[in-house]
Parts: sequence; C-alpha cells; structure tokens
Amino acid sequence: MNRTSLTTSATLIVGGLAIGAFLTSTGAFNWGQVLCWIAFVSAVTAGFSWWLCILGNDRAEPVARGAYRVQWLALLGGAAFLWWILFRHRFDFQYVHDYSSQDMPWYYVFAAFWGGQEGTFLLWAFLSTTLGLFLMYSRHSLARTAMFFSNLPMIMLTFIGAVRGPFLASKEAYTNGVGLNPLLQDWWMTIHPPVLFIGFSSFLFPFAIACAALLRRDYDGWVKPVMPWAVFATAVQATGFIMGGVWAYKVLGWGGYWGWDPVENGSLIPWLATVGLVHGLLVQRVTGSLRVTNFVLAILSYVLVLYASFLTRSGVLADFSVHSFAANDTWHLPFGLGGFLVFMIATAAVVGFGLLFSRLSHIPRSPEPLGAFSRESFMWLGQLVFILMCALITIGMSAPLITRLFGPPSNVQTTYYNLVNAPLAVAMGVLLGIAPLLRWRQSEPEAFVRAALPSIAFAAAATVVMVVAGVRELMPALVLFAMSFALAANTVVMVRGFRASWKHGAAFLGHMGLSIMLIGVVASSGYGITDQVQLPRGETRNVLGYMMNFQGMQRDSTDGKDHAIIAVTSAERDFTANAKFYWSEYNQGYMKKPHIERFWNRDVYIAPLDMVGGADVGGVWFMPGETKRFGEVSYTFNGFRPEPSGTGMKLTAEIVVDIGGRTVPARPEFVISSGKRTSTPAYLPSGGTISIVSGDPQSGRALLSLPNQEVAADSQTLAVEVSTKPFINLVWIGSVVMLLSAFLSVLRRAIEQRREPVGGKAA
Amino acid sequence: MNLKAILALVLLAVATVVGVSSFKKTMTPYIGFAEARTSSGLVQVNGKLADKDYVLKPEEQFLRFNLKDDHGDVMPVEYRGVIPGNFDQAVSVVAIGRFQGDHFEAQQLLVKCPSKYQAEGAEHPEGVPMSKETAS
Repeated sequence: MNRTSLTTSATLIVGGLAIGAFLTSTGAFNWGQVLCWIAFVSAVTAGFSWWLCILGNDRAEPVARGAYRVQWLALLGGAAFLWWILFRHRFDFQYVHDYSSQDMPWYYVFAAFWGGQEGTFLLWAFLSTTLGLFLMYSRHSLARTAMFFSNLPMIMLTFIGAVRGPFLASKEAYTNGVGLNPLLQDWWMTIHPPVLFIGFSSFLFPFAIACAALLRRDYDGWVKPVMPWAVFATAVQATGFIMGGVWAYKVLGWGGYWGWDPVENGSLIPWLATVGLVHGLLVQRVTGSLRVTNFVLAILSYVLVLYASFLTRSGVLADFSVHSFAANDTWHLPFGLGGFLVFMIATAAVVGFGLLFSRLSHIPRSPEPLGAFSRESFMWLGQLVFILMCALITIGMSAPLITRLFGPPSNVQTTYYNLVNAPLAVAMGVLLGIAPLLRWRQSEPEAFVRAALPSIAFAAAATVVMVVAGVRELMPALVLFAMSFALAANTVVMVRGFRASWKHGAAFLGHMGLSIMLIGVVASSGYGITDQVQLPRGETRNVLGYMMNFQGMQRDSTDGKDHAIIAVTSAERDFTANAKFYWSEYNQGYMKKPHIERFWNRDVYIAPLDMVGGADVGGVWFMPGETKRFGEVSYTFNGFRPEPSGTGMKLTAEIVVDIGGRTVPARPEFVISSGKRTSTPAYLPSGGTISIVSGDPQSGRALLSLPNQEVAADSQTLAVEVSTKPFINLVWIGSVVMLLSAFLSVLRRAIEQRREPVGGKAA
Repeated sequence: MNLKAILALVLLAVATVVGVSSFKKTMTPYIGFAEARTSSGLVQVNGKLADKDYVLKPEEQFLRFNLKDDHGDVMPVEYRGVIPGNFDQAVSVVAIGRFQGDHFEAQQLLVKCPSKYQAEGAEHPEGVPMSKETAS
C-alpha cells in the first residue's frame, strides 16, 4: 500500500464521515445512507481512476486501489449497520419493520437482511466488491484493466444502494415489525440467498477479464486468469441450485426440487453459458480455437445475470412467477427499477459486445482446424449443447415478453422446458461419454471404438434393466442410455486420471456426478406415482398401497406450530407422518411442510394440501355487517369497537347470535399490545365460545372462531398429496459428487494460476 | 463436410424443431374472455371473483365461480381438484384451462390474496400454484 493510495482512502473516509456527520446531525440522513453514499462516491472515484490507468496514467492506480478499499469498507459498514438495526429492532427503519419482528429468533433476524429487494441489492454490491478484492490483489497483467470493467456494474449497484438502500425511515411509528414471510422462515433462508448472490457476483469477473483481454488485444492470455473465476462461478452457483432444490423439496413442499420458475431459470442460464465457457477455454488452451465463442460466452453470462435480475425484480413477470417481486413499488431511480436494470443490461451488453465487435477482425482464427474425431471437436459439440440449452431456456422464460410484441402476453407451461431439454440431454450424455475417451488433436476412430465398447455394453445392459423395471417411453429410455454410457465412460477415465494425479481425475468425477444426478432426475420425476386423497380423521384409507390414518392435528412443543399426524402402515415399514400444517396470519393461508419418508430406493412424499370441512385452525371471515348461518345458529358481525388499552389497542367485536329465534349479544375481545395478541372469548348461553382469531384493520373484517366449528374439528378431513419419488437419492448423490468435483477444479485452477509465471509484464 | 459439422447441424436442427414445436404446444396465452370463449387451445385468463356466489364442494373437489375481468365481462369457471384454502379471499385469480360449452374448465388455479400485513414490493409467494400436476 503506497502513500497515494492511503491518502485517497483517508480523504474519502474522512471527507465522507465529516459530511455524513453533518447530514446525520441535521436528521436528513442516517449512517446507513451515509455509508451507501460513500460506497457510491468511492466506486465512481475508483472507476474513473482505473479508466485513467487504461489511458496510460500509472499514477492513477494507487488512487483507484485506495478508493476501491473504501468502497469495500463502506459496503461492509453498510451491511454491519443493517444487521445492527435489525438486531436492535429499530422499527423506525421501514426495512426493519417490513422484514423482521420482535419475536423472531436470531437466525431469522440475521436472514431478514436479504428478506427484501433493497437488502439483496446491498448484499449483491457487497459480495461483488469483496470478490473484486481477489482480482485486485491478483498479479496477472489484465487485472488492472479488468478492475475497471468489473467496477462498472458495481457503480450502478452502489447507486441503487445510495438512492434506495434499506435505510429509509419508517412511514409510521411502529412498535413491532411485520416479520419475515413464514414461507421464508426456514434454516435454508440463512444460507441459500447469500450463496446464490456469491454465484451471481462471481459471473462478473469472467465478463470483466474478457473485456480487459479484448481491450488489450490479449486474445489468449486471458484463458489462464479467467479459468479460476469461471470454475468458481460454476461451482458456487451449482451449490446455490442444489440448496434451493433441497429447500423446495424438503420444506416448501413443491413436490419436486426444480420447478422451472423464472427465478430458477434465471440462475441457470448464466451457469449454462459459463459451463460452456469452461469447456471452450480448455479447447482454446490446447488448440487455439474457439476464441470468439469464448469471448461471447464470458460476456453473455453476465448479461444473462442482469437480464434474469430484470425479469424477476422489475415486476414484468409478476403475473407469471411464484418468486417474482411485485411491481407496485416506487423506486427513486431513473425510469424506475425496471428501467434502471434495463440500463444496466444495455451497458454491459454494449461495452462487452461492442468491444468484441471492434476487435472481431483482429482476433486470429484457429491456426489448425478441429480434428474430425478428436476430443476438442466433441467438446465443441458439447459446448454447443450448453449454448442451445441456455438459448431455449432463455426463450422460454422470456415468453411473456416475446409474445407481448405480437399480441397478448403468454407464457409457456413448464412442460416446455422438459420437452426441449430432453433431446439435448441425450446429446449431452452421448458427448459426455465420447469426449473423455478421445485424445486431443488425434483422430483415431478404431481406438475410440475399442475404448468405448465396454461402456456402450454397460449402458445397453443398464437400459435393458430399466426398461424391464418399467421405463416404456422412448425419450426417458434414451436419456437413461446416454447417461449410463457417460457414467461408465467417465468412471473408466476418472480412475485412470486419479491414478496419475487428483488434478486429472476431478473433471471426470464431475461428469459422473452429473450423469448420476440426471438418471435420478428421470427416475424420480418420470416414474413416481402421485395421488391426491382426502383423509377423514380416524378413518384408514389405502393410498398407493400405504394404509393411511389421519389422527388429527397436534401442536408441536418445540416450534409451537400445528402438525398433521398420519399413521401409515405399509408392507415394508410402519411410520408416523408428521407434516407441519398451520394457519399463517401473515399469508392468510396454510403453511405446509411435507413429510418425507425415506426408503433405500425411493422417497414417499406426503404433502398436506388443505383442511376440508372444519376450519378450526382458521375460523370464518366476516365482513362488517355480514351474517352467516351455520345450522340453526346465525351470527351477525357488526364491526369492531376499538379503544386504547395500556400501550396497545383493544378491539371488541360486536356480534349478535341468533339461536333458533332467540338473539344474544356476544362481545369477544382482542388486545394487541407490544406485538402480543391476547384473545378473550365470549361465552354463549348454548355453550361454546366465540373468539377473535384475527382482524383486518383496513377493511374491518374479522376472523372468528365459532362454536360449531369446534364441533366440526372432530370431523375434519385432511387433503393430502402422496407421491413416490423413485431413486431420488441418486439426485442428491450425483449433486454432491458434482459439487466435490467442481470445488476440486477450483482448487486446481487456482493453484495453476499461482504457480505459472505471470504472462506479460506486470502492469 | 466433416463429421463434426454434420453433427453440429443435426443438433441445431433438432433443437430448433423441438424448440419451436414445444413453444407453440405449451403456450398458454393470457387473453381476454371473449377470445377465451372462441379459442380451442389451453389459455390463461385472469380476473377477480365477480361475487361471493360460488359453489364449493370440498368433498367432491369441485369449485364453480364467476370470474370478472377488468372490463366487467363475467365468465363462469369450473375447477376440479384440491381447492386453494384461501380461495374466498382472493383478490385476483388466474385460471389456466380451456373454454368448454358454457364455462371455462380450469386445469390450474393461481390465487393471489390480499396481503394486508405485507409490505409493498415484498415477495409474493402466496401465489403458489395449486395444480393437479406437480412440477419436479
């Protein structure tokens, strides 16, 4: 660290804090906003200084580095400040009110950081800047130029943080927060979003290094420095998917691990492009071909990251996605958040593809053509498969936008993705099996046939077994054949590779993991059986060969939530299914968590769907003035009478009950005080009670628990969906193997980059 | 032309053909009621509950209600399957299906509910689709 750098840092910090102190003392700003603004100003300073470096002004570099360190420190401070106000329950901040509450356990308060849009932008900016430090301290000749390009999106992300960070003051004086959406209240929430954002952030660096290489006309020198980043991005993003899949399967009760939702697709498309890039780079390193394709993929992967953010964050898909953020928010950004994200996409695309276009005629074409039957040809074909998958998924998820151009916006159903990816998966499996058996730059068909025969024989045998076991359709059979072939071929090559060195085996281990995973995907999604049934309490029903008896609801002592208890007997094993199923006031709906019973060759997935009949958990909604009749009794709700009670508020419901012509008043009470709700029931002369379960202050509606509903509770019926997931363990085993290989590859490429002498002169 | 180029062209051709045909086949246009009545394929309509006058038979997994669009056009919708639990509080209903005879036969219902305690701009996961098919 030299003097100029320290001076820059000191100036930005002292200046920023001094102005900040003044602004916070006037009450115009709080420290969170000040830190966001310092980050933005530092990012602009760093970006401008790196631009001067590119122009040849070497003295600007220490300034840039100093400013970049402040950018990181300010974002770190901003993140720390957000956690601080969350943990201190500072409900005078709107974000704290919107995504946390007093009674949340600490790990959800921790996770509330990324509960909303503003927090995720801050997280994204912080993680991008943190990863950028690794680029800044790396010694290769393109690092400095790449820093300029990587800082461009960071300027925009910190700008979002500055004008619309999570630090806006509350609109009202709140005493408690809304809390995190119960759907998000799960252990996975603390880890899954940050991992995905590390993935999203890491795609920035292949983009930046590609731009730097194009600017510096270093068309081959970028292969080595970009490799660890590309492999790292793939590994981390894959970790994110797999965590998301486990979450969806085990907790959210989607019945599957992957739903082809825009958010999932959005994280998949840059990943596919980058996997294509990694394979292209390997080919380029050996043969010098695929230069242009690799540049396209590196730039494209980050453009796709931004495009996916646009689709899911701007609200354009609000009608089409489960995950999407709503659009009805006002962001103090030019043209709104959507417009600003379009601007970000345009900037990345224009800079990246513009540079590529301007250099297109200079980039040397391959000195030697790809051999016909060589490893590089088949890797090139494999890359093509990844590009096609990426393109078809992008088209599918963009369907509402594409069709809007020609008429009413339409969406494709999720079967689209299965239909288009199945033939590509067959091609991928075949190529995945062939390529590792071939040699670089050689074309020896006879030697290949000899090497491939055992694997082909294995695949044929495996396919016969699977057809006998019940696979009757062509496409799944083809996928299973291709993947078995890939599995066998890569096992052979992996064993040979690991004998030489772990570095040579890691990649093939990844191929094995992928083929095991896809075999599991085909088996578990295509050959499970599903049934939706109604289970009246206490009655035994035969569901898919399992005798199920719904025993009622039970409050769990540890989590305080209602669980549906179902006793199950089957030929193999008897078990008690315990599925979380409780009414959420937040969502005005039932929160459900499936019960998964694991057998060695399948999972039995019992997902509660709905409570039919007795509404004991929820109660009955009444509009003010509304009368509802249940049997001989009718209830008229005449509205709430609110009055202050201590520090809180007491609501008394005015209810008139008509029991066979005799009217009696009932006044149940509901006290809300410092976040606690206490309900006092009203007793009826006929026995039984009426109590307020919940109220809606805006419309004045009341959710009432009525006596006859308690009777109905005995006759409640649980609707469940029961499905089997054959060989789903292969999905998890394959995933773990793939991740292991991915992180081994990260290690390998990082060591490689460190050990090799730095190309060119260190600038 | 060598082997690799032929394989690449085959791949491209297959992807294009499968892509275009799948795109057309699985497309469910978001259309108005008038169009839904005449259209033969799978379509998506959205609107609000026209009235509280719906028929709900949980035991038979049957639901019939009137859907009203932004122009005030009303169309009866029938749905067979597990009924979304929060159906009667729906502020917006998306139905995917096709028009049959006198009503719209929904294969899938997406129900969005008023989220009174929810902040503006928050995630909207309560629109979790209730569907006869399960994605995996």
